[in-house]
Amino acid sequence: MYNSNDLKSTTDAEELFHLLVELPSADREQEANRRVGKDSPIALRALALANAYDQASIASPPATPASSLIAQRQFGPYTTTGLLGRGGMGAVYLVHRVDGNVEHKVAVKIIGLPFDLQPFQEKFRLERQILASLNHPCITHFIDGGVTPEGELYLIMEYVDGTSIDSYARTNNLSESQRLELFLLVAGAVFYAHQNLIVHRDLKPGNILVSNLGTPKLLDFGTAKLLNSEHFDNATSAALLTVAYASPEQLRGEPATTLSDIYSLGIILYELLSGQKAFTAGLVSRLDPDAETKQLTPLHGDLDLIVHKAMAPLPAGRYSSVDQFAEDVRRYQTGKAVLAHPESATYRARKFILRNRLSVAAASVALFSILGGSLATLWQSRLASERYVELRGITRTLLRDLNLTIQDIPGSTGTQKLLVSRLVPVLDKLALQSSAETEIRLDLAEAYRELGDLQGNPYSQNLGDLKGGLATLEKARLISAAALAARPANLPAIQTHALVLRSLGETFYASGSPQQALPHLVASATLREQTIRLRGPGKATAEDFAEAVSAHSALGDLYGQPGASSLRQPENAERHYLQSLAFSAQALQVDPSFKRAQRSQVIGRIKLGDVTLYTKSARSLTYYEQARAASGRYGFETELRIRQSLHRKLGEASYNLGHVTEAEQFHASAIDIAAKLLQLDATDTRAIFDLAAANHALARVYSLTGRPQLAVPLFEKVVVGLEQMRKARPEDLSVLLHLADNRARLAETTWDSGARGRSDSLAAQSMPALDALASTPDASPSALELASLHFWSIRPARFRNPAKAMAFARRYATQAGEEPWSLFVLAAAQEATRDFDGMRKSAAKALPLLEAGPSDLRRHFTRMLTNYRTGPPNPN
Amino acid sequence: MAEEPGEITILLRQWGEGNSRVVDQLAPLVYDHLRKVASGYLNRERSDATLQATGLVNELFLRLLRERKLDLENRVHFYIFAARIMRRILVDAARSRIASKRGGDNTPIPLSPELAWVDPRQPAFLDLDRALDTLATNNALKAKIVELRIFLGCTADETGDLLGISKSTVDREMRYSLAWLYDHLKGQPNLTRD
Repeated sequence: MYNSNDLKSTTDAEELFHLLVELPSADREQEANRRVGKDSPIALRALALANAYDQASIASPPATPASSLIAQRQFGPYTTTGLLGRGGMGAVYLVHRVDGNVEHKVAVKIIGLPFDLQPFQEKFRLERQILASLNHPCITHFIDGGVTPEGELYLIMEYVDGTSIDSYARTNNLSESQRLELFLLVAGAVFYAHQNLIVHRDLKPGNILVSNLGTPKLLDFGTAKLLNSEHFDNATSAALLTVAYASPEQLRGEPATTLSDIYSLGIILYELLSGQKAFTAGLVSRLDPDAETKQLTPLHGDLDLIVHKAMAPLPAGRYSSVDQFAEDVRRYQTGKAVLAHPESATYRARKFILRNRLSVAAASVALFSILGGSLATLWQSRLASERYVELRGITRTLLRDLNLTIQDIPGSTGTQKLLVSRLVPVLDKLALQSSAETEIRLDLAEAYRELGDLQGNPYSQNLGDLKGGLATLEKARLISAAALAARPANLPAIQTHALVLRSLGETFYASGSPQQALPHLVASATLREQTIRLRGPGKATAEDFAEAVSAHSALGDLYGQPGASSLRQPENAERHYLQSLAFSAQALQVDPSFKRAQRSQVIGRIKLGDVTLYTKSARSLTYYEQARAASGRYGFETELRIRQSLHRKLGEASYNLGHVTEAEQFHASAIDIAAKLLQLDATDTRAIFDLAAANHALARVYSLTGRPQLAVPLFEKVVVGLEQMRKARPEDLSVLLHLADNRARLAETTWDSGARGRSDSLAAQSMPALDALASTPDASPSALELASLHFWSIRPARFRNPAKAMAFARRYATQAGEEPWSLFVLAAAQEATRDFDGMRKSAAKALPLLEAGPSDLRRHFTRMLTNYRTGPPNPN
Repeated sequence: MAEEPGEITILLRQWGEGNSRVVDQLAPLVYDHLRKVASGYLNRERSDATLQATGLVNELFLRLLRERKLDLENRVHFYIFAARIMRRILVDAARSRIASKRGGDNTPIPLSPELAWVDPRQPAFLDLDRALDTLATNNALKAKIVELRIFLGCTADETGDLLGISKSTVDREMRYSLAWLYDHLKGQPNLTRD
């Protein structure tokens, strides 16, 4: 027996089969026996296959078992009595009505679709009502239709005995003017349907039958829509269309409009007049719009202009209505200048469009008043997608306006909040009505995101409604997450979801909930990296990389941005900033002149320096140096603000490493630049702040290195600058904090330089302010830290309060976690309260966390551990 | 902004890189649409007497255009994928016909000139589908050739081009596969032609 698993015999049998199949069947057996031995399994198998091959070549398909349809079938009130024939109208049956005894000859078209139509029964009924309402001598009357119990779609229409328009014109040898007359009748019918808001979608000669009397009859009006209506698919199926007569937009899968019918009519007219096919090529070559009409043999005179206008590749270039098209044909017949003529086209076309708009509008008003109720519903469902676009347009405009007014009018937040509160329900309604189509979902998510940002994302202009913003962003997240779940590899879905998640993360972060921000920002970064992978090797764009940069930079901020409610995990922050740097380098590989990525190369390194400034000073200095080099390389040297902040940071890092002279030079340079910036715009609050910060930095170096008399005038300047800031932003707590801190420092340095009377009043001003700022339950970490330090170090000493220093230090340490600086703040307060055991414990915890090499902190901790002393440290 | 590569292109690329599971994600993106299109062909609403797979490929191609980009390097995968989808559509259509015991047209529609004895609307088509699976387990290349030639209507030249083999090899393999399929199906109850 032949064994199909026996590879050897299979191969042999196959080889033998190829030999045998070439031979006449009579010679095969002998040849097989000769080669592999009589009745061997291989011979038998090869012979069987060769004979099978012969039979397969002549076989025809088996007949289907006789259909019940032929015998007698029921379609609504109709029963078939026999098959009349088959033709352009599909299968045609003779039927008679069950409820009467009158026999009608009608055409029944049966369309079996391989899916269940029952759920669409109701929608079909409405569509059929519209089709049945069409009443025109040149349109085949649509009688009825529905779904059979077996689930097939059936359409019953007037039976037309005729031939297709092209063969009719040919066989009757019609003259040009006869052909034009015939065409005008067709155009009239199409225009009538358009006025009733029905587009044919599949106009072609085969769908226009001409009776013996010479009357054209249009078939299948609206059935293309019925077959491809939104119940199944939004786009008209291109393959169900006849490629040779479809408009470019239909071929692209866009919805058919009245202008698509005009295009098809243009082809029909061309073919009627030229006797040639307009397009014989396949779909792919028809998609090239330039190649479209060039290949047409020119018609004579203005007819050529008319046809080309009807067949303009862009819908906007065509006649705006069939009526206008027909009018031009009539003008040609009567020798008038045609509208398609370039010279007069614009002016006259405009007049026609106006007239037409009126007539279409009038027609729809009439339609509404006559048909009312159920049809109005249908009309609405037809318009549903347009309505979405319209409503979405309104929300978009509102959002944009809101954004503008927020920037311009600081006091108008009440009105804006009201507007936003109106906008939310509009979007909610849109969300309920809209379909599950990915594009619409993404669009909605984007709308919610914009609104949410506007309500409360502190990273953008916002109304300060944090809670409302988070609620709206959460809606955005649900929608974009659903869209992404349905289409996991869809790039727009990935990008939208990433944006939504970033907004959510930023809002949580800035509202002081870094733990809640974390999962969103991590997911957002993951999606950005996924985008890059999905693009494929070498295909990701500079923008893709830039988005990954932003995502990782946001994560870096969340983990370790100094002075904010970050998670205080500098190691993780450094890791993400480094990743963001790697991505901006990749962006620059794609586009070396990409400004956004160049800037990220500088800013990323500054952030790296910031996050390592107090723990890894040497590395921090390196990062700042690299930032400076990058800023030189990409021409940011001219950007004073970047240069200013870089120099100040270089100064701080240098000081931490004990390079006092360099630190002084950098700080002096930062002061120069800030002063220059302020000269450019005296009201620039940012420049005022930068100058204060630069002065503060240098003053600290002087005071920490025992030169209080040099520090005093600088702290004076800082206080003046901050007072200015306070007037501009009276509610800004961070300005108040800086002001109190600098006053305290001024008190200390004036005391140290001998002007003791003055320091008394300064301390009397600053210490209660610091106390107040640090004593609120939601005091910022910086407030706790600075208040704690000043409460054990302030001079005159009578303003000191070690217990308060201790209380603030504990709260600060709890918030900041165990990192060197918070442990120092704690240890210093412990020393001030003479809790030496606690102090040594804190110092012992802190030392291993420090980077290798000498630093200010290491000196302090080592002293606390080794040089046991009783009494608070001498601040200088 | 640079052009977005389409989802389908991305999935095809992943498939090309050896991730065969993406077919499960790929199929739903085009399947429903193609199924509707195929029904048009299967129901003889067109004047053509044979099943026109080219129309279907056009359709799939269009869909990729709408997705804005079709990498040419994915051409091979695209065609093989299209053939497989087509086969699946026909199988599902045949199944649903059997399930609904629907009659319909009694004029045979041959699947292709080479497989004139198979009507894709008949239960026998499911046997063909199973037979192709068996053929594929014995020899994947043969099954691939049949899919491309029969379900996509690729010529022998095109098929050879796609699979990187010569036209004569395609013809030779095809001849054997046809014989094998006919022989294999002859004993099946649904094909009672003999």
